[in-house]
Amino acid sequence: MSILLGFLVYLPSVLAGGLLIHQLWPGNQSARLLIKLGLGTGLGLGLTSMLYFLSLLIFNVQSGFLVIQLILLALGLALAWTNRLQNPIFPFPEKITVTRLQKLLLSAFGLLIVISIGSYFVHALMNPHGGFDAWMIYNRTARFFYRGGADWLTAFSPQIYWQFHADYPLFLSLNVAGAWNTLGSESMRAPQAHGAYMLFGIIFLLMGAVAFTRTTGQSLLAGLVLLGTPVFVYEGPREAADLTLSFFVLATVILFFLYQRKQKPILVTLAGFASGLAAWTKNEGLLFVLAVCLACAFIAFQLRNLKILIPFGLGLAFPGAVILYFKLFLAPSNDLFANTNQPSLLQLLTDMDRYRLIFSEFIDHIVWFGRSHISILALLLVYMLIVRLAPRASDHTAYLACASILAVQFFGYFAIYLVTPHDLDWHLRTSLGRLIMQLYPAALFLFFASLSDPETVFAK
Amino acid sequence: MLKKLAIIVLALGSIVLGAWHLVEYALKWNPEFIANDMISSWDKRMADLRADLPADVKTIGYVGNWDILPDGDYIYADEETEFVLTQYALSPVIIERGDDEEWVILNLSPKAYDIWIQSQPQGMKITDYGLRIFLVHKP
Repeated sequence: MSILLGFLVYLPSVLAGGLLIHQLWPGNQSARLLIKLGLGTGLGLGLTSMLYFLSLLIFNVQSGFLVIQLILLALGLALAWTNRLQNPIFPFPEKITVTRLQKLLLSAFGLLIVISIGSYFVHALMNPHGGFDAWMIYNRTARFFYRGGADWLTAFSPQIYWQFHADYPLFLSLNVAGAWNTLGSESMRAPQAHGAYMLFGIIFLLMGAVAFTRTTGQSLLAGLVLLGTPVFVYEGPREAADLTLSFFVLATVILFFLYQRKQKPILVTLAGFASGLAAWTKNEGLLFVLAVCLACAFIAFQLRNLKILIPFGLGLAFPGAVILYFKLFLAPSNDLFANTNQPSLLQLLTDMDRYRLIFSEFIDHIVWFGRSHISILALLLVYMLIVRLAPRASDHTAYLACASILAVQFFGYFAIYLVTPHDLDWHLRTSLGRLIMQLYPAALFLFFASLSDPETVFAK
Repeated sequence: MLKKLAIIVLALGSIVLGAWHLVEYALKWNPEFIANDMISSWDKRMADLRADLPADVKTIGYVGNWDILPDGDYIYADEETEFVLTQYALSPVIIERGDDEEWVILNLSPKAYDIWIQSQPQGMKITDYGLRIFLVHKP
């Protein structure tokens, strides 16, 4: 029962997100609807988290979480009803036909979904409080909010030991505290359900976008590879924010890719909003916003259309303002920059041993990424060499822009390790795998969007 | 032919990896963890202590073996985990390392406790919650 309640408590936000995005980006082709369902999961939960934060700041009352969700859902339903003729959800405009190959891949995907749900529940039931980061950072902060009541701002006290990261953005902690307030108890099924929603959001988004840009068969293969990467199923019930950040990195990359194809400014606005929510999720998201701004400038320059910076800025404005307020007025100093006893920046940057260690750990973690018994990277590289790349020439700018987002983020992580005041070996060991995971779904999207699809291969 | 084989291998390989992970984890299945995992147990251990703390206490001290014993006489990972678990259990009370606060939690081995108590003044109220956990109230 508590598992079901954990899922139900976030359902209004998820549905509201999907319905609102359907209004902003009309169209009801099946792949597009799948993208919108995926996008709606993260953007709906993100919007709720930010509005809940504002309601706490303004009214200092914790009980507003359900009210905010219901208002958003009512708005989504009202708009969907009003625009049902111009922008229907059903029936699909295209006749859906499934080939024998697609049926086989669909069966394989269905089997893996069942296996993954089994894995999810084994993890969730045996780890009710999630992983170390969950009880050290996110659920701990949620307890400060939920138990603290009107004194919820204690969660940002500079007295809190640095290791608890009281400066971390509040996406997850607020949604967990809000769910506990709605349910009236500290049910650990709520953060686990939150993780499951983000996991399914990633799957829908990845598969919808690959189906939209390539074929159904290719999207099923992408879904199979994602779910076949054990770390993803493990991350759902871990109750940490890395999966949520993965979602927003993927969403931003896909929205930029789709913009380059469709030239709809609303897609760039949503990309700006999604990147802002990445920064509301984890501190790494702040670096991500920088990476996305650079990519946006690159696209604007390539397309000789500086006007796209306006919708992007509009999308980023609301989450950006909330994060700025949080970082300037509430959050204590970040441990990476508050430590005054560290060696000088010049010393750190000129220490070649640090470069060697970081480089070798990056290689090791990438090659063996995924908590798998085989190297998923090697498997995908061999697959790429056999099946061959087949990118569309018209997508050239999109590939470059999206790859540059991931590259800037990747090198940003490298730079942060270079200047970290903490023991480098400890810092790499405890975080690098999660950082790679944050970029993995977006990299998978670019991978499958650029490869020959099964339909073409089996037609020959 | 090779391309078709690669697609089949990728699809089946993904299923095998997913199933392998499920089997591996299912073998570790222990129904006791559903309600009595390490974190829930620590929460329960701290519940009495939490109830004894006055409601107006916002910050308490924390002394562990890592504050008393030389390196090598304790396991750092255990000390760190128990400190984090204590903060998690007692939130929203802030746990500060050291014994400067009026209220202090001791999480000490007998040897570390003996060393610590010798450096303390008389007249402190020390409540034993079992399993090496004590709550100290300084006058």
